Amino acid sequence: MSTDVEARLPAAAAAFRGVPRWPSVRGSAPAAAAAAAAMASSAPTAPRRLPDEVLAAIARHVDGAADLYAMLAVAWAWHRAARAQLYRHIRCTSLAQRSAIMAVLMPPAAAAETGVGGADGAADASAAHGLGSGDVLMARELCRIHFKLSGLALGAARDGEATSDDDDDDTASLETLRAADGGDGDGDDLAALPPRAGTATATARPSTCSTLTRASSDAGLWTPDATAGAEPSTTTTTTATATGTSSPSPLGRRVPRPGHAVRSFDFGLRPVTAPTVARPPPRRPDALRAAPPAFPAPSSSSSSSSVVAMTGPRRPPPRVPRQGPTRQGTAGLSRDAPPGNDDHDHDHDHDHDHDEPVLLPRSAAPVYGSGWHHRFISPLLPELARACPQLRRLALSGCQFYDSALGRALAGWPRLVALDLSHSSVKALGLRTVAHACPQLAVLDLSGLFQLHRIPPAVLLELLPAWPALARLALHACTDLHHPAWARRIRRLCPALRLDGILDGDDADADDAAPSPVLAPPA
Amino acid sequence: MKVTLTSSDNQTFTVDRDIAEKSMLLKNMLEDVGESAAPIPLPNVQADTLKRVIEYCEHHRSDAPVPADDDKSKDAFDSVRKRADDIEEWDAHFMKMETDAIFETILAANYLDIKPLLDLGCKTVANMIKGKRAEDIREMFNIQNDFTPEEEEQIRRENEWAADA
Repeated sequence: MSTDVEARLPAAAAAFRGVPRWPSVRGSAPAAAAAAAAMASSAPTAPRRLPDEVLAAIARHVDGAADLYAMLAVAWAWHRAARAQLYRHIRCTSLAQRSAIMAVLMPPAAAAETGVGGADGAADASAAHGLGSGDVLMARELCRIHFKLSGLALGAARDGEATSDDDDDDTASLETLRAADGGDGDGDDLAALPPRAGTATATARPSTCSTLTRASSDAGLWTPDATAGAEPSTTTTTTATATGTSSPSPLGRRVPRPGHAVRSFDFGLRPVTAPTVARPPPRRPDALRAAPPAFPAPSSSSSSSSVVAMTGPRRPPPRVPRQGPTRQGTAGLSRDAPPGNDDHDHDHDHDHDHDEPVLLPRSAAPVYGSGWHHRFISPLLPELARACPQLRRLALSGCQFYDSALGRALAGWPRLVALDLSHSSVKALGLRTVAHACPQLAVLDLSGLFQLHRIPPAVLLELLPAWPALARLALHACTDLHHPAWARRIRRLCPALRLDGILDGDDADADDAAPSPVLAPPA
Repeated sequence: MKVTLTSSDNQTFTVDRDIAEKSMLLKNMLEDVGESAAPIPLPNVQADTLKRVIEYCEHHRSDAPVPADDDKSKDAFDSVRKRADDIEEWDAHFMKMETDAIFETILAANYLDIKPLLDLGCKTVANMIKGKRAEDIREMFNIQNDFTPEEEEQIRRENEWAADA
């Protein structure tokens, strides 16, 4: 009996943990002991390696991207664990960071398809999968409006401050900065458009964007001719990130693309009047290359280029969910502000009601979300769907996009469980697409959508049955629904639903409630 | 009922069955073989590590068993991230040991499938990593750098967005 037990135990152990079967147990105990001693003696010198599942558990306990960043470069096993964790939850905090992330997420095959390598790879990757022609035309039109606006804003800014340091590289001039700002984001957005019926070649496109921006800053107007001659300093950020990823990646062989690890993606934008996320300026690429071989400490991003940022009510393009400067609007937006950014919110309360762009001090960071090109993420949506098929939670709060682009993206995410559309540009058509494409939704944030009769409230009642799993619905700042009857009717349709923002019966101060349920900041 | 465990260096430890059953591996085994006085060989665990593991299990013998974690629901709503700093005082004191010993304990907890101890070990390591650079981590845990310089450069560039997030 006892030999039988001895024989079975290690076998069971081996089967259970998947460890190699212990060789000589069937015999007597001394044999096992000898083998064990042999193993023990070989162990101490060579550092014991932690198995992958342990490393993954460690990575789960590491919070803070900076610490994960350090883990990435320790060794391959650590890299894989940290990478999976790092890309699990993504929250954009600046345009540069977003561009970098998108460049990393973009599948390399797409870049190869286009046959254009190098700096344009990432841009072409998006172009290859491009948008419908209607989207393109509309996007171009909207870009035009944007450039005009920024040109006008620039004119005002120039009047305010007679710049004399045009050619100084360190304190770059207003124009270049403005152009850099625009070129960065628009390169990001516009470059994703396919060439217009062969007029624009693939290589010309990125510089087209920047030249447009520059033209706009010179003339205060948008000029359509792409004089793609002189190399502008404006595509720097995008090119920098693009070269990083589209060149044949030495990592490609060893690790899967990180897109499949992404479970939640937050564009990090908040309602139109609330640029809540301030970031240090992006490192310029020259500084990037000059970085010492050692990993830069998280705090070493001090190579700050001085930047002029616009705050104040950048009048949003048409169809923007206008947030009135009412108390309610502000409350609705501050509820989403991540802890620690409160000071910004206080600033906005008084900063917001003049129409002229406010010039921040040169050292100030451009505030993510302050420009329209930060918010217009339509071209990114289908890309994201392609890159991150495993996505479960998506926050499009404050984003501008076409309902068609949303629909195309959502088709790739049938298993989405949480969606934040608060204060976005979604319309009734888009909501119907959501109902059609995401039957598993459990959490939905539609704050700010049902006001000024942009979307008929009846649409909500019509769509609610399409989400049988819906457990939580946020409807902050939805003035159209501020009648107890609406809450009652919603209740009748979905008795178990937890409603945020509108209350049954009377409306209390619901707006200072919890942060967005869809992507609550990690506790 | 007592259970006898034999470490890799052939020392035996006799523990109560409920303590041994903190380990899912042993629990399953004991259920498989039923009553038996035969010592259970644990070829992957050394004596001093096993001693610590038993110490941990004895201290936590009255803890409720951890529910098997439901990966699916976690996947859906894992916004509540695990925090590394909510370690009990006794546990924190327990984990004050050489880094090698920490690794051994983690490996043993993983092998024996003692989830709370594994969690504790991982939290401890996560806390040690905090604020360190990759080089420091390698040195601290005696890990070999198996990247080529190009790969390292590529990793640095590709993930730079995370560096100061």
